Amino acid sequence: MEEKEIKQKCLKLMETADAVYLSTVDDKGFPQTRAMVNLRNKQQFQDIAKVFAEHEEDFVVYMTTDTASSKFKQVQANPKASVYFCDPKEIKGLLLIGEVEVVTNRDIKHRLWQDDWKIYYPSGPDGPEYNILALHPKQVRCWFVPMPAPVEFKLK
Amino acid sequence: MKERELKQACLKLMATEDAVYLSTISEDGFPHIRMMGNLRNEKQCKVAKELSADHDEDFMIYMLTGSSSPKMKQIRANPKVSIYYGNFTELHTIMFVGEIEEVDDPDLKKKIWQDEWKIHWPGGAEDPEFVLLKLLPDFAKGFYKETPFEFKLE
Repeated sequence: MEEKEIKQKCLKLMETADAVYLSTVDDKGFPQTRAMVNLRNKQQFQDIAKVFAEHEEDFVVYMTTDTASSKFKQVQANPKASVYFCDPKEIKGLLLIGEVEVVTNRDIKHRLWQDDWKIYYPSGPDGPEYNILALHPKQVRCWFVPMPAPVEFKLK
Repeated sequence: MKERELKQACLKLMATEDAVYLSTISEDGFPHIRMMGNLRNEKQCKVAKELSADHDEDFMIYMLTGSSSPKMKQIRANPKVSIYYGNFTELHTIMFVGEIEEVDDPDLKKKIWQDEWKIHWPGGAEDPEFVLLKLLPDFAKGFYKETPFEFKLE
């Protein structure tokens, strides 16, 4: 399978997966995992698909979290992380590895903001609780059965 | 909810999920996640009940992998892992954290072995590639019906 075709499969999986799993490293060096809302899911977040249309080549993943969360503290102390998209029924998995950045760009934070997030972030998109994390993947590992083995490639 | 009831709900989640998510740490310090089979689920492992029978309190988790797999290489260099189970319809998730170890017990490996795994390990339970891992977690944290919880495990 050509790299272009594999990348298309990766994008398709990111656009349809229900959840994305984020692993960070805690202060004792253990990985910690949790499920996150998948903002790349086109059915759930139609209005922000245009944000991700700008990231079809770099596979950037945006996630939202609260300033008080343990993952927020963990990525500030150690930005090394990975996210995993998968479809357990079809045995498809996509691992993106890279560093997480806390997004300070107000424009991006506003473009991603959803009004029903007010229950989590009462002071809105400019408030202190609302954070957007961006994972910039450098390394990709994916497996789409019936491919015989996982495929790895690097991103810029 | 009492801790006893919550733990029972967690054991049920672990016995019914199809997939489990294992995170390890790579040589360059990045966490890597992948989906794994669930040996606490009877649909996948015939001896699931027997394996977990005495582990309602310590939440011990067994997993299978290949000896030359990238995750095994990472585990040999750094045994720190987390294992995650989640059911989003039930709003129930749990993450276990601790150090994982290889179990060098040929009898136990024979007991766990199932013939349909021959596609992965042609040599059966004695195949040198057939590795049994065990995690005795230090702690667990998760959400049950939107309420966070945490267990310290001994």
